[in-house]
Amino acid sequence: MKKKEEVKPAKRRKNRELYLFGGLFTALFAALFVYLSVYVASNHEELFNNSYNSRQRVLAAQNRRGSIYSADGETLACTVSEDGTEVRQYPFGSVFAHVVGYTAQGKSGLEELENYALSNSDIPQKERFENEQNGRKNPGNDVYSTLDTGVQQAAYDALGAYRGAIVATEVETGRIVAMVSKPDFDPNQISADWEKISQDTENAVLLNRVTQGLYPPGSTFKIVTALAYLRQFPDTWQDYSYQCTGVFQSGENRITCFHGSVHGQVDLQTSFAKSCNCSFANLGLMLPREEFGDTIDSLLFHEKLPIELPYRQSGADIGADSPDADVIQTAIGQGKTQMTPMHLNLITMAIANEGVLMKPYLVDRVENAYGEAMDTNSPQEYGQLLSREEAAVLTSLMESVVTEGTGRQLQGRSYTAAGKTGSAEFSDDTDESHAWFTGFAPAQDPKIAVTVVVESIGSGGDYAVPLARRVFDAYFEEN
Amino acid sequence: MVYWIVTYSKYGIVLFLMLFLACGFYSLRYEDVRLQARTAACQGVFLFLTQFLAYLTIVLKMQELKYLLFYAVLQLLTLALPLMASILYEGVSRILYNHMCMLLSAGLILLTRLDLGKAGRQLFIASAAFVLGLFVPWGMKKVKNPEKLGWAFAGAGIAALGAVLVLGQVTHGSRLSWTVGGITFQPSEFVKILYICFLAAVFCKEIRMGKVICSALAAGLHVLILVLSRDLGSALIFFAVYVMMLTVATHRLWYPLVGLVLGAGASVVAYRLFSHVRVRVQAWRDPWSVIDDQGYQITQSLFAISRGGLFGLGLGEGTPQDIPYVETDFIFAALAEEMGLLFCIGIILTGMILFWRILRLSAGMKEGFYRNAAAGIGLLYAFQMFLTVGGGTRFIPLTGVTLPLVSYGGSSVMTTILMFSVIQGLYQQRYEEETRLEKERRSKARQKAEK
Repeated sequence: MKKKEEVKPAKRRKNRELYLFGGLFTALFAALFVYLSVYVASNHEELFNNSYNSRQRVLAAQNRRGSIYSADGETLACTVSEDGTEVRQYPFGSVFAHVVGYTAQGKSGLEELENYALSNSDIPQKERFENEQNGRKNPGNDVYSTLDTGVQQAAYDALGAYRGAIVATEVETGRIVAMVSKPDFDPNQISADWEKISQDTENAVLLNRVTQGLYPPGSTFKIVTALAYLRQFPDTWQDYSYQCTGVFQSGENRITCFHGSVHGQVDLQTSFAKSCNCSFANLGLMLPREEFGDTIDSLLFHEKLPIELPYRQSGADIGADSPDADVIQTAIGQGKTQMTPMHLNLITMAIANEGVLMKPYLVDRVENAYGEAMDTNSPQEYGQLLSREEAAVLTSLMESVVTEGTGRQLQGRSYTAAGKTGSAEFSDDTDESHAWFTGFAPAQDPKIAVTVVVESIGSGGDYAVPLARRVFDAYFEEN
Repeated sequence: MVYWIVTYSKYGIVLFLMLFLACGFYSLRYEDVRLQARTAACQGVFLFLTQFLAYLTIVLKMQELKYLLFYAVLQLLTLALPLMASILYEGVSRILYNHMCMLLSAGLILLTRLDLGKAGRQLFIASAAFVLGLFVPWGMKKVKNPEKLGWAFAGAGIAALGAVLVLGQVTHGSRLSWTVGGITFQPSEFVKILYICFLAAVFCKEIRMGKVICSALAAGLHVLILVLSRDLGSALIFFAVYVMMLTVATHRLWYPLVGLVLGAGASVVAYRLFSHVRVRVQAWRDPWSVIDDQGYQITQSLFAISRGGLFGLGLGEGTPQDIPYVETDFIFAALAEEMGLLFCIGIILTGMILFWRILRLSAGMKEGFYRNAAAGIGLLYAFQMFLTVGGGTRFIPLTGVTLPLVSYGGSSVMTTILMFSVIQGLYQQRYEEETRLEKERRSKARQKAEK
């Protein structure tokens, strides 16, 4: 017995290094398996959509690309055979140009986002076999979007020949019901017009201005400034008072109210409703820089936005060492401040939904050719951008814009709206401004948030609010 | 019917491979080859079923007689060659043969689908190597004191590598091969055997510092020639095998740490010195930005793996030929595309069981030449497998070495089979030793009883 004990430790020592290497390689391979499984699972679609991956071409030969439908069941894109060649058709022409996109000359919009679903076919194996025997193509999966043809058409018509963008989203779910960008193009003619369109950098026709158009937000940014003020003076903001003379002077910095108006004695609500630049410049300077910067950051200015379409990053910077001039300009949404309409819409959605931002989404579900749902999206919370109380105060401020301020053209409808206008100056050489409106309705039980920007036309109250009204009208006519 | 087979066979193939592996794991319980016999027979059935189903799919798809003929030859050889070995030598491990055959088959299945000519060549060389390998156990008995030949092995290896460096042909920027009488050799593969023999011999007896330094210099010379030939993958393997075999023989755990530091230093120098090392590292860190040139191969490999998913697209359904040099450097990605990730993991596990078998064989042996050699063969095998699979999946930078037995390449297959033949020789020696001891014990017992 004793002898055995002596032998054992020696034997283990003899093989210690051997088994150590054995364990090392086993661990390395285990790590490799985990890495591979995770990598393939998480990047499957992204790798599929890479144009260097031949799988797309192989599938295009086997399957007929699926259709894209609106939420109300209209066909937005479909593939038909004409004399043996497949043609992608867009029955609504340029109405859905940017959001549905195209699939010739590269891909964009939903055609790009849902390329994986549209290219694949989830029909039963048996069917697939019969198709292969008969040389038929398999029908690809169909995509049902959240877009509503009525609201989209209204937004499209409202914008008319102007350049600009309109986006409408449901605040409780995040469903995007309309997304229009102009100037537009006809996706049916994309290949024929490609040379002309792609080289036209002046009009940037292919740019989806909702997510990729960067504009100075002008007075719509006062929502952010007002929120920063509320956070700084949660108990005393109602006591704010300022005497507007039409001109604000602080050292060498001088700004005026829009078109020389003089607002007289104003509190926070009137400043907001009448969009008093002087008062907001004054108010901006009352804020500690870092806190102002923190509020800006809390509204996703330096973060990834929860949207799937390609977008550009908005810019608004206030730091501890920002000079007065920058603070004054930022407080009224001018200077270096730039935003995309989509980003402004996200902030509006959060205010309308008691501070909670729902992730915006474009696809309701993917179905196979037999109408069986393969993949269904449901509303998802992104997070709380501002507190319930802050959202309530901002809502009342935005309501007063309609009842007594720059948004009067929204009065007298079947619904009560709330919002904020903006007239953003974009150049020192011209008096022209971009007209903005962002808002939601009904004010007390918000359903939909609409953001409008019209390029170089005039004041938001005159030019953006009527457009938003037509979108609201269309939405509430249906719902 | 045809369609159903073609569509669903991939699930069957994975299932049979998993059952094959289950037998493999079960067999690890026993060290004695006699106790493994039934498990091995059962495993053989699953090997056959895997091959059968894969080739059934290929034949049905291609609808050509030559594929059927190829399968027939393959099946015959898989049965005949291991059988021949067990007739010639008692005590060889059927389990080991099964695993070798599974790895070879996985490669052959894909080669058949890619290029029947190459599959034929591969099968011919593998069979020749098997036959050659049958002489190895016999040869091992004939050479009485291999540990005395240490420096001769080193000299032969360095001479062979040096000759290629001076006279060899350049392929893909590396000086690797040598053509004699129409047949192209890649001597760095065969030198692996000499190199392991050299280290096994040198590390046999007491290992003093002087010996360590001398052996390090000789090993370093191997590595240096390989680096000059721009065969960095092999250089890395030779370096790692030296460090690991030294550690196993000396039982000193600080050697691998020193090796790691030296290796890291050498990598930095290589990175600074050679542009093709920088290219490899760049293609590993961000292949997407150089997708048109240096990153093309690795991104195509990643595409292929992602296309396959868990069960693969099915044999003949994918486009593995998109990957440049798919059959030599990226056979793993091609397997993943058409047979699926599960199959691939199964193939690596097959290799891992083989590795553990060899480690345990080595662990059970007395200190000496063959214990060292077995450890060296096992560790080299595992390291090379990790380099090629990890490189092809962007887990580590790509080094461009073959996946032993699976990848296309005559020299590589030949070398690996010969190495495993040495392992079979060791099984056989151990078997003889055990039977001798048993006989002695029995006769002693009989003597006792007679008294």
